[in-house]
Amino acid sequence: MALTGLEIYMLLPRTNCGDCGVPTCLAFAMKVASKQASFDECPHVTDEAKEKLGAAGAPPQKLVTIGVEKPLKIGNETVMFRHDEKFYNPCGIAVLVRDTDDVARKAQKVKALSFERIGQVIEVDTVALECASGDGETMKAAATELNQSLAGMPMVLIADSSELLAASAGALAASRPLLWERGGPSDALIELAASSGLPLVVEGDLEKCAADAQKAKDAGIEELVLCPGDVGPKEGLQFLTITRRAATQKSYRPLGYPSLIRVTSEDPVAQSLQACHYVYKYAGIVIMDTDQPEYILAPLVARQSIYIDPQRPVQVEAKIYEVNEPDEKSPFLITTNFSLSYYSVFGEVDGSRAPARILAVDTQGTSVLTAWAADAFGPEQIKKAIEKSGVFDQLAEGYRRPVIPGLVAVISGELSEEIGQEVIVGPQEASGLPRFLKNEWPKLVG
Amino acid sequence: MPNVTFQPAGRTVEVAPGVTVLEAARRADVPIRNECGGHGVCGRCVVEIRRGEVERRPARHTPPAGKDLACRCVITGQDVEVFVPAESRQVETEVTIRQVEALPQAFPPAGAVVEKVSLQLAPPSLDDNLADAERLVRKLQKWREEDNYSISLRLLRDLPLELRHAEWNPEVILSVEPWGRRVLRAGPPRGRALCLAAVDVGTTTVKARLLAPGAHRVASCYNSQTMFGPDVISRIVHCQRDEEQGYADLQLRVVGDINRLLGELVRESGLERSDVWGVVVSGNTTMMHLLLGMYPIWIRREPYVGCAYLLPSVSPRDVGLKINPEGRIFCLPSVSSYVGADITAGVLATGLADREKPSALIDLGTNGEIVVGCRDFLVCCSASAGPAFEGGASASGSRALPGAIDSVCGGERVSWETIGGAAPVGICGTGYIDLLAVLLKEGIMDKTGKFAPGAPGVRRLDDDTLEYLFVSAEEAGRDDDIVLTQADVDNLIRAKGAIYAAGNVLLESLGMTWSDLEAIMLAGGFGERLNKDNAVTIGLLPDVPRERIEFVGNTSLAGALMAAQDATGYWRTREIARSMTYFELSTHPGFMDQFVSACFLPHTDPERFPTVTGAG
Amino acid sequence: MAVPDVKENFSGTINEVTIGATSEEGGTRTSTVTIGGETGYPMLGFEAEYPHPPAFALEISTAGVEGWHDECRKHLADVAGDLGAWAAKCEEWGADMICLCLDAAHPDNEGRSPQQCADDVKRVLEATGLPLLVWGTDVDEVDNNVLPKCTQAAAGENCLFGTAKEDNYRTIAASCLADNHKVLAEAPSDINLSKQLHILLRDVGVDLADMVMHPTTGALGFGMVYIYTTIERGRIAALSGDRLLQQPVLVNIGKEIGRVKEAVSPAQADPQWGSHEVRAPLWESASAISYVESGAELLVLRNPEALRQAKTAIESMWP
Repeated sequence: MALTGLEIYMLLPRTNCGDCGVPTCLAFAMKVASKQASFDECPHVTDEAKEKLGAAGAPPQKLVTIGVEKPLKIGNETVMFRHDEKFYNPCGIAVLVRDTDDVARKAQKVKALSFERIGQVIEVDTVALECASGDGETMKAAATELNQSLAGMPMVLIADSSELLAASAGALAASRPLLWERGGPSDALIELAASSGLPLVVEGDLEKCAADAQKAKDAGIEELVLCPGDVGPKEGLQFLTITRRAATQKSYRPLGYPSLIRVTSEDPVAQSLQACHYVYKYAGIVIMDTDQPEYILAPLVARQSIYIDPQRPVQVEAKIYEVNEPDEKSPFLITTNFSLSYYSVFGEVDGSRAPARILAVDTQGTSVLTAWAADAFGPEQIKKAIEKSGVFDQLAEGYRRPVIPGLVAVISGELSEEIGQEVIVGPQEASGLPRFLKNEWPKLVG
Repeated sequence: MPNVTFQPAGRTVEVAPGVTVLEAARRADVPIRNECGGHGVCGRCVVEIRRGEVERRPARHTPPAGKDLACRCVITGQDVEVFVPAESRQVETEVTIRQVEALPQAFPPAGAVVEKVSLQLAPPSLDDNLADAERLVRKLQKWREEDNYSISLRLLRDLPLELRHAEWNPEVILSVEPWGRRVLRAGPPRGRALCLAAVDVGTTTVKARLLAPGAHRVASCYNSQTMFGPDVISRIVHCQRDEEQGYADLQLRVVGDINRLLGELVRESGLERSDVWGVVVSGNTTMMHLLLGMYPIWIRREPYVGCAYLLPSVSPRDVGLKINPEGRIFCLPSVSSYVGADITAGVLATGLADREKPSALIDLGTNGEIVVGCRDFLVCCSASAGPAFEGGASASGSRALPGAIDSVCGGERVSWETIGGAAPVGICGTGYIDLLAVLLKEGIMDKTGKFAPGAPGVRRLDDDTLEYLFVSAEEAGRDDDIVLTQADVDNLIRAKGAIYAAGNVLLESLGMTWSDLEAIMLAGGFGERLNKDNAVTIGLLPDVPRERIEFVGNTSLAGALMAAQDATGYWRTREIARSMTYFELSTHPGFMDQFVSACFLPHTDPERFPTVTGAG
Repeated sequence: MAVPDVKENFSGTINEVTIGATSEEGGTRTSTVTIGGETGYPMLGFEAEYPHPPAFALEISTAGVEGWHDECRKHLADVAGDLGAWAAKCEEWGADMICLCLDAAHPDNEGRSPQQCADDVKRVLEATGLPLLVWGTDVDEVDNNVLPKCTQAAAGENCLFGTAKEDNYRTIAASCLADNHKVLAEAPSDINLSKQLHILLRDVGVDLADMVMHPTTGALGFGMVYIYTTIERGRIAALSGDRLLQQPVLVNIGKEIGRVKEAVSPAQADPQWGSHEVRAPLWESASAISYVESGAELLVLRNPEALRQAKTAIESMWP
């Protein structure tokens, strides 16, 4: 059970010495309770107290690392719902390659599945190589080639037996692939993984997974990945939900590992939609059998979305946004780069069908009033943002008049002096924009 | 340079061209109402230019025909005469005096922050040839168990003569210091009372009380810094705007207010300013900074750090306070940038830190603060509530002064009572609490506070917004109607929502709920008659058994008074400040959610208010 | 150590809301749609009941398809000029409901009169046997003039009318009460605001069981995840017994897709994204699936191909 701030406080020395970097013991205790600080940051805490708190400390789900150069880290999740905390480690999205494929060509395709979106690279970050040839050496050759041409991209090696896996696992051991013996792991594979220190998939229903995980752990393997086998989306969701709950809610160690799931449908549209399904609901790795970007883009964006930290104010890029094809006489609106502020303004402008430019000023993702109060949305900052954007070059004489949110009307005078242009005070709330743009703006520039 | 004359005050001031009429009014000490700091936004500073020409700047608010906004009119070369109509004079500076119960008769009481003692020194002799100062100290050391005394050079220079004038039986006045005592005076008996004062510098209101024989009055006035903006942020902004003049402006204003209050009080009591030897001041952190002339701008910027929270005693000369120049000013300590001395004073006054079981103190000022604790712990946070409950920034708001509507009843016709029974001049905090509860019950507004179109008393304005006509001008003791606008309601709901949400987040972080609290004490100077049921009905206070709710009035002033009377109380505030844990809400992920859910009447979760909503 | 039982048991159930009335029920619909009734988090057949799969409505607009993106328009070219034909076509494509948007009444369009709008509603009711969702203009004054006429025109048909918002709910609530329709309650992406609106609606007489909530909508990658979390949080509260959040959830996706570059940008402009013909409907169906994952029960789409994809996928996932 998690302790409350007061309970933790009672375990602390209560001297307000400040050695932990926080002014009072209670402040520290509350940080510990909200997981913003760790108990051992207090140098004066007693062993007895440490013991009382220790049990709650260990992560319920193991962190598993695959690959070395650009490792895929999965697991360590603590909650079922992102708003309870956040989802920590984005799942791997893998493309399936068979050792009978033209591996070089496949590698090129996989490489191309990398896109930039809202300032982040979203890409296929894992590759799964399946032994379809039934020959360990063929698989090894393919694995080596893939590993080279994909610059050590984290890899899942899939084969029907440990014998088939052995060659590839040996050749790639330094690149830390994840070993998946179908229906496994057999004792032989457990031995192989234990001796090479590689992570391992345990496959089967919940009971089998739990039993095998225990067995592998007893053999000294720390990093495991659970897999329900080739199942449809109903069973898949059930497996992923139950393993996650068992780990995070019941601290059940044998299922305290991330999961891997392979999309089973052959229809690429269904593949794409099912991949989204698993991305949202708890997969650690999703393997897709397609390399076409149009089918992979949606799961990638789903992953980008669901792993956003819900506690952190979400920011949009601080820049000029053009809405409805503005010209040199269109209104120029200013707001902050807090995503809700920006999207409220954008939504109203877009909805009113009026062409306009919106400047999102970098306020570290705080809203208009908060940013103003904290001196992050004042005349100086806005002036700098306007200059940096170069927006005045796009506006005609007489139209270089920024419209500021009505909530910060008080800065209009100084901003006007700073930029040497008249400043227009807009409505208090974004919802007033359609009326403003329709009725007031034409009069102002009229 | 052109002259600007203000009517009906009849004051004239000479200003340079380029100055706005509003600024000229400030310089002429003619307070004109304004809330946006003079940016043509709030539309409150309506004046009439009766003579002369001014240059008019564009404004967001169009003033009524024939009128102008003072902040938008710039003086050119000409003399100008300006008429300030009554509704623009809302920021009144009159000092209001209110009777309160008298204090104990011994002045100053033994153990106060400044004490007077009559000593009988043995005159020096060839055998006992200690120097004058050491002779005095030797005697003082016997008077109290205290070794350390300090005497200023100024006093040393006069000491030989003073002691001899006193024929070695001097009257000595001393003040407390962390290291011992400071000798403020030693000389022949003055034959006058020695009195102290307690002052509460609120963002909106300044209050003072004298500790003197027969003094049983509290004097109050609007904080005249209000003309630079209604809240601490806009005051700080004013400091930043004009680094030299900005905070000199604000310091002068607040010192001027205190001087006026003390002036009134000593005059009323038949005393002189020089009889006041000690002043204990409490107020929020920004007000303390501005009073002492400490630059406050980092209070506003992340990570929100002030210049000093534990303040030394200071000389009135350094601050400009007109009391005895040898006296001392004691500033109570703050906890953080947004939990100030007013709160440590409140904790002292309410005895929160001595309680066995956790209780809460809620101070509903322009900035709302909440303290939860007992003798084991103290936690506090602040939430920007705005001046709505103090009568600021509302269309018909008023401080709690005679004529303010402080109680409202529903029924067939909404009825009201005023403080002192005078003709109504406006609505004060407790009046607003009642009014919201009544309008809600009568269905005149819905649970989001939106007026129902067509409901009795609700009328539509030119700008398409609705307002509630509360008292018509004919009935009111003023020239215009007393109304409740939609914006007023929104502000009040935001204020009460911020307070409730802040308390909730604080309690949740402690793993507690409101019902775990033995007492919930509501402090603030917004009225005398708090209707607890109505405060719960609108969700300002939690739905707990009513006997746990206590209205404790202005605890900032009460705490300052206690500290003045008894130095141990003064030291206690420092312990309180040091041991209190400040909880920052601005970065708390759950606060916004709690706030939105509290911005509803009484609350979005009906289960939290079972006696109001009937939910179980 | 046996695998622990992790089944969740909830005290609350999502309201079942039926839209449409057949002749036996006093209307003229040939089918009705019932949504809600779940007793657990989405799609967990091992622990909860899921009596009704999500329903899909296709949007038709009195203002035609102007402004709709090309990949969507190409399916509608033949019918967009004729509301009746359009509605009938949607039925053919497998929609469970028709969402009729009264866009023509918007002052920026032709400002179609309340009577004309009521006639539009009647025309659609005649052309299809599917239940109807009627969506106003989002301009308060217009809605307050237009919707009462339309609720009247559809009296007896048990339609869903929207949207009621915090600032404008009295008129629509009164007309839905008078003509026995369900109310679509819209509050922007915040469970508190949704609850507040439901309380306001209840205060003016609308039964909590006659509401469907719309927490507003963003497309996948364009604000979807905020709404996703809003719905998820609401669902947790609802299942824990909060009656103010037990209303089934609608999301209006089709409209949002037109703003998504990944969906509308032609292949020549963004070759790295692959086939546009695939991307456009897939973005719409993927957005729909995303919302079903969080708990949405009624999804409004525009593109018939997206409808087909989403329905097929749901069939494979729904318990």
